[in-house]
Amino acid sequence: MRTPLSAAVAIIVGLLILAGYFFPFGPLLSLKNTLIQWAMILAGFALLVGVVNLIKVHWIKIRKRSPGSIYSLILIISLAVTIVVAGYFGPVASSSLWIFNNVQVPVETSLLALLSVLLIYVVVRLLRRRPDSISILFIATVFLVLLGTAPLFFIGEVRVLTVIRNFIVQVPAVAGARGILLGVALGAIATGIRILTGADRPYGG
Amino acid sequence: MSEVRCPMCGKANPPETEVCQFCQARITPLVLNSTSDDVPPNPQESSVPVHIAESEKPDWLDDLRQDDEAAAEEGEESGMPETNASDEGSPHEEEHPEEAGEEGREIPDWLAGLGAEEKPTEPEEGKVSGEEEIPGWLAEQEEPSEELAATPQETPFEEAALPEWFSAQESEEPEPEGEPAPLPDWLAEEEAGIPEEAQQEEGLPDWLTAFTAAEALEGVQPEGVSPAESEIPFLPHEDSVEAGTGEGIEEGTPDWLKELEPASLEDQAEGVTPALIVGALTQETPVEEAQEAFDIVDLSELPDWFTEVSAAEKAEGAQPEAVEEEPALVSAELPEWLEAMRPVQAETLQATIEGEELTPEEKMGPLVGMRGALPSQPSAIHYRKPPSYSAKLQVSETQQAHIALLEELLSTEGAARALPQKAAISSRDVIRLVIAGVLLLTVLLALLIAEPRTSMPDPQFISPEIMDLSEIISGVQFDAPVLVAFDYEPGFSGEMDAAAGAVIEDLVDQGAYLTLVSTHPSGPLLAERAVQMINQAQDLEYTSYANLGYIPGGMTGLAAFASNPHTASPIDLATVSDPSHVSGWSEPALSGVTDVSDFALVVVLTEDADTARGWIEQVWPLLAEKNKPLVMVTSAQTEAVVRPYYESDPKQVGGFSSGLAGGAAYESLVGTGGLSGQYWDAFSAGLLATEVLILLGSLVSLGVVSTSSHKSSKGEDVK
Amino acid sequence: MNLNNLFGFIFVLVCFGLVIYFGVAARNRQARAWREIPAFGKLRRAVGLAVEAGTRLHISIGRGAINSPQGASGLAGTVLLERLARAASIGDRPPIATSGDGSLGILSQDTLRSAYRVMGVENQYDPNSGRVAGLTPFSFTAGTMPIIRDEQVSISVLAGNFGSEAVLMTDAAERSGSPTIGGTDNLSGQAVLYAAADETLIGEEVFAGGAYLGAGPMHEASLTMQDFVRALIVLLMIIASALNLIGIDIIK
Repeated sequence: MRTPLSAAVAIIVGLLILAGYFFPFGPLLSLKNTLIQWAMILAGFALLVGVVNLIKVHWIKIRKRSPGSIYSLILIISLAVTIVVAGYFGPVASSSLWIFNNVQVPVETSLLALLSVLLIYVVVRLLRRRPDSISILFIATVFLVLLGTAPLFFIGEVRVLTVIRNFIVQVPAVAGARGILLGVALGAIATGIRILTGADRPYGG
Repeated sequence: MSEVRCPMCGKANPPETEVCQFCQARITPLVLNSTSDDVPPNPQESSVPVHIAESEKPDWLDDLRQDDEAAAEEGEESGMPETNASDEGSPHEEEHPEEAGEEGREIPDWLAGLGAEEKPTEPEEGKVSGEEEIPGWLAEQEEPSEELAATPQETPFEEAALPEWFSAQESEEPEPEGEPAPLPDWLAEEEAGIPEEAQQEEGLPDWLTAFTAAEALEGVQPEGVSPAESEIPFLPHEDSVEAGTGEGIEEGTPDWLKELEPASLEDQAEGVTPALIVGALTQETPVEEAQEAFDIVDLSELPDWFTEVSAAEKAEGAQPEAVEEEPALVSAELPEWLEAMRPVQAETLQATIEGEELTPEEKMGPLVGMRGALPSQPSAIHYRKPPSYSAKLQVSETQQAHIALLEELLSTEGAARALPQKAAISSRDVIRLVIAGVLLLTVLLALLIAEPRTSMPDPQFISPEIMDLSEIISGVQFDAPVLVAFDYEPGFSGEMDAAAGAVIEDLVDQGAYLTLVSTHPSGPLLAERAVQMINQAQDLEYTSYANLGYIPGGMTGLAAFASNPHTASPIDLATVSDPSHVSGWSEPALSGVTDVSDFALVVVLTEDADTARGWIEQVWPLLAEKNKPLVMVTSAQTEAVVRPYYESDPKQVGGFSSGLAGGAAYESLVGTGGLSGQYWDAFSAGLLATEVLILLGSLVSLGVVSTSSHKSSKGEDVK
Repeated sequence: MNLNNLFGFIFVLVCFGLVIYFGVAARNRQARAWREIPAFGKLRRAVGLAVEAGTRLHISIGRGAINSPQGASGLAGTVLLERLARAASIGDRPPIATSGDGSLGILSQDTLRSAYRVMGVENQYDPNSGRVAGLTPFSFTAGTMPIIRDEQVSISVLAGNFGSEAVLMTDAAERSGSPTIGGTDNLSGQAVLYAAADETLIGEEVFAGGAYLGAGPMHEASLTMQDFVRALIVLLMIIASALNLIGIDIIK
C-alpha cells in the first residue's frame, strides 16, 4: 500500500476513534465501536501472523541446519502436536490440559525460578558495576522490603520491619511509580500525536 | 612542408606559426621593411648570384628550395632553414626523392634566379659584389637604421634570426675591427668544390660566394665546449649523446649553434644580455636594446646547418674535400641597410665581456658559436645532470622501530588468530551456582520439615485491603454471576495459584457462578487448571462455571467485552470439547447479563501492573454506575500500582491481595488452609536466604570496589 | 459527555497544539540543548563499532500489542529500530529485530524495509530480520536468548514493553560478551533493567530515542511538549496539594 494512502487511513481512523472516545454520541459512537471490533479481529489475525512468522523462522533454521536447529525442530513438532490435540479434542479438554499442565506451566515456572537466581546475582554485582550512592540506596531498599515481606525463618515476624516495608511500598514506591507512569503516559500521547499527524509512519514505509 | 623546425630547439612546429611553441624562439625572421614583410623575396630578383654545380649542391640547398617554394606558395616568408643537426637526409628529401640527388636537384628558385640574372658588376656600396639587381625587398631596406627606429617591434632576436649568410653582405664594407672569422667547414668544402666560374655561370649571388672565414664572428667555432655546460635546455647533453640517443647531434651541431653561449649570471647582473636570447624571450625589447643587440650579432658567421653534409656526400669525400680546397668566396658587397645590420661592435663587445671565453659556446640555433648568450629559459633554472643517490637507504632507529611495528601489524592482519579460550566455568557461573544451590537447599529443607516453623500472619495485623477483599467476597450471593479474569502468565502460576487459591475457593464455597475470561491466550487454560485444582483439593466436581475463553485485542477487546460480553465472547469453551454441554450463556446466572455491570463482582487475577490498570480503566467506570465492586489478586510486584486505586476516593479497587504473603494473610483471615500456608515456611526460608546472599554479596562487592579504587589511587600517587 | 471526557479532550488538544507549535512555529529558533542521556551516547558508539567489526545489532521492541497502551513503547521502539537500521545498513551483518507480538513483528519488518529503502540498499533487506520470537512473555524471552547468544550480536537494545523476564535477556547478552541498553514502560521491567542492563532508559526516556537520534523535528517537538506538560502537571499537583492542605478540594 502506498505511503500517502496508508498514512491517510491511519490518520482518519485514529481521529475517528479518538473523537468517539471523547464524544460518545450517535453515529460517532457506533462508528468507534465498529472500528474497535475490526481492531479486535485484526489483533486476532495478528496472533495468527505471529505463529506463521515463528514457524517460518524456525523452518529456515532447520533447512539451513543452523546451530540450534534441533530446538527449532522440537518447537515445530510441539506446535504441530498441540494444534492437532487442541484442535481435535478442544482447548480445555483433558489432553490439552495435560500438555499445558505438564509442559508449558513447568517450563515457564522454571524460567521464573531462574529469574530469582539472576535477580539476586545482578543485585550482588550492582555495586561492582555502578559503585555509587544510588546503587547503595537501591540495595538497601531491596533488603528492607524483603525483610518486612514475611516473618523471618526461625525468628518470626518483626513488626518494625513490617512497618518499614509497608511504608516503603506504600509511599515512595507508589510515588515513584506514579511519576514514571505519568511520564510514560505523556510519551504515549506524544507517540500517538506523531502518528496522527503523520510524522511517524511505521506502517507502509 | 607540413612542419617547420625551430632554429633554437629543433622541434617541429606548424608551418603557420611564427614563434616556436616550445621555446618561444622566432621561427620566421622579421623583415626590416614592414611594407614588404609579407612579400616573399623574389628569387628572380635576387642580386646574389648562385653558381653551384648540381653535383656539388648540398642537401640543404634542396631543403632551402623546398622551403622557399612552400613559402612562396603560402605567401609566407621563407623561414629559417632546418637546423636539425642530425639531419643527414632531410625529410623533404625523403618526401621528394625525385628532387633529391645531385642529378635531380634543383637550385632554389631564388637561388637559381639570382645566378641567372647576375652579372658580374662592380660592387657598389652597400650592395653585394656580383649583384646585378638588388631584390626589391632588399632595396626597400636601404635605410635599416631609420626603419628600425620606426619599428620598435623588431627585436634583435628576430633580426638575428636572419640567416647568417646575410653576413656575406658585409664583405663590401671593411670591418673595422677584428679578423674575419674563419670560414665554416661546410662552406669551405663547398667553395672548394665549386669553381669560381661555375659559381658565376650559375648566378650565385656574390654574397654567397663572399662567405669568408674573415667575415665570421670571432670565436665562431670554439671547440671542446661541452653541451652539458649549455644552459639551453633543448641542447643535447653529453649524457644523451653518450647514450647514443643523440650521437650524431653533436657531430652535426651547426657551428653557429655552438657559438651560442648562455650568458653568465655575472654578465646578466652587469646588464649584458645577449641580444639573441633577449629577443627569444621577449617581443617587447626596447628599440635601443634591439638596435644594440642587433649590432652585436655578427651576421657574417654562417649557421652550422650549412655544414650539414649528408653521409652520402661525405662518403664521396671528393666534393667536400674539393670544397675545402676551393678558394674562399669573394666577399659580397653588402647594401647599406644590410651593412647597418651588421653587428660591427660584436668583437668589441666580446673583448669587453669578461670571462666570455670561459662561458660555453652555443652549439645550436642562430647564435651558434657565440658566447655569453642568454639561455632561452630563465637562468634560475639550471639544467644539470641529476645527482645520483646511493641505493642504500639511511634509516633511523625510530623509523626502524616503526617499520618493525608496521610489519608486525601487516603480518597479523590476514592471519587467523585463535579465539581466546573461554573457561568452562567462569566466576560468574560459580556465583550463580552458589546462589541457586543455597536457595534450592534452603527451600527443600524447609519443605521437608514436617512442622511449620514460621507463624502465619496475625489476623489482627492484616492489611485493610485484604480485609476489604474478604468482606466483599463474603457478600456474594449464591448463584450470583461473578466475573473472574485469569490474566496472568503461566510462569507466575506458582505465586498466583497460592495467592488466589483461597479467594477462588471462597467464591466456590459461596456458591457463585463463576464466569472465567482472560485477555491472555493461555488464560482459559489457567482458569481450567485452577478449577481442577479446587476439585482435587476439595474432592468436588465443580461445574457451576462458564469458561468464555480468550478476549482478543487486549484492552480494546476488554472495552468491547465490558460493553457487551455476550457479543465479545459468545462461545463457552466447554461446548467445543463437548457439544452436548450447555453453554454458560444459557444458564440462568448469565441470562440477564448485558454488560459487565450486570456481574455481581469482578475479580481480576493478574501479575502485570498494566493489565491491572487496563481493567480498572476500562471496566470500573461501567461498574461504578451500578456500584458493583472490582477486586484484585495480584503479584507482589504490582502492589505499588494497584494501591493508589484502592486508596482513591471513590475506591476504584474495592480490595486486593498481593503476593504469597497476601494469600497467606487471607487464608489466615478466613481460617482456611491453602497453598500459601503450605509454602509459608519455604517462602520464609527462601526470603531469609535471599537476604543473606544479597547482604554478603553486596559487602564483598563493596570491599572489592574499595580495594581496587584504593589501589588505583595508590598507583596514581606513585606515578 | 462527562467532565472526565471533556478534560481529557482538552488535554489532548493542548498537547496536539504544543507539538504543532514547537514543530512548526518555533523550528527556526535556536536548537534546544537536550540533557545528556548516557544510553544514547553509548548506543551511537556501539553502532559504529558494530559496523566496523562486522557484527550485528539486536533491537527488541517488546511484547506490547499496538492495540494496547503498551503498544506506545513498541512504536517508540520502532523509531529506534529505524534509526539504528539506517546507521547499520552499511555493515556486513544486518540488524535483527525481535518482538513478542504478531502486529509488532509486522511493524518491525516494515520498518526495516523502509530504512533500507531510504538508504538505497533495499536489495539487502531480509524479511527474516524482523522476527516474532514468541507469543507469550516467557516464550518471547526464551526465543530471544538464542539470537543474542548465537548470531554475533555486538549490542542488544531493549526498547518496548518488557517485564521482569528481561533479566534473562540481559544475562544472555552478558554471557556472550555484549552490552545491553534497556528501556521499558513497565515498572517491574524498569527495576530489573536498572540493575541488570549496562545502560538504562528510565521512564519516558525510551520515548526520547527519536529526538536524540535525529529522527526529525517533530520528534524534538514532541519531546519538548512532554517536558512542558510535565512541568505543567507538576505545577498543578503542587497547587492542588497546597489547596487540599487548606481544605479546598478542587478535584471534587
